[in-house]
Amino acid sequence: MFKISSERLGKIGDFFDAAAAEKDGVNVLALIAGGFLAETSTKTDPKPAKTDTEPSED
Amino acid sequence: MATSTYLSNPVVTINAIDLTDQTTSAVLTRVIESLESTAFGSTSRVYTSGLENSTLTVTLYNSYAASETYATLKALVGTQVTVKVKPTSGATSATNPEHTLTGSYLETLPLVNGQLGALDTIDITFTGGVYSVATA
Repeated sequence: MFKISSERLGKIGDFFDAAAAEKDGVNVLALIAGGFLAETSTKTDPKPAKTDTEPSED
Repeated sequence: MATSTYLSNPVVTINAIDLTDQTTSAVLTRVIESLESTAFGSTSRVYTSGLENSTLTVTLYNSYAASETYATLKALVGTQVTVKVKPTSGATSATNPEHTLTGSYLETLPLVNGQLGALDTIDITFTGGVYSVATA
């Protein structure tokens, strides 16, 4: 996942479809090396740990 | 009636990066190599078409600032890249065609071309690739 980080490439912050660009002959590694793209994290927040506590009967 | 094209605001894109505001010259030449097919009995030399070997030569101001000329080109030398040229910044159309070389090769990249009292400019040439033109 990449986002545009230079106005020379497009609107800053927009998602960049690297796979489609490569099909058009764009050298994506060169864009990264030049600082035109920023890789975004694909991590999601971890799920909360399950608890074994019994529901209270109050 | 004679007509002329005045290129005041062409668009030059190298590897999807718009370097128009660093460009002072762009020459796209479509070249299809000639193969001689002259044979006995011919009274003049005859040629047939061979491989296409078009070129795009651009003159750029050399800037080492972020997102400028050097940042765009430094990783492209020795690789194949897509380059595009359009006569004006308007929408692509039959009267404003966008010319593309896909898979064009950048063989050399001048790194410094300094002269006293002059801005640093570089000439680079993209060679080969598949030519196409878009009119819409």
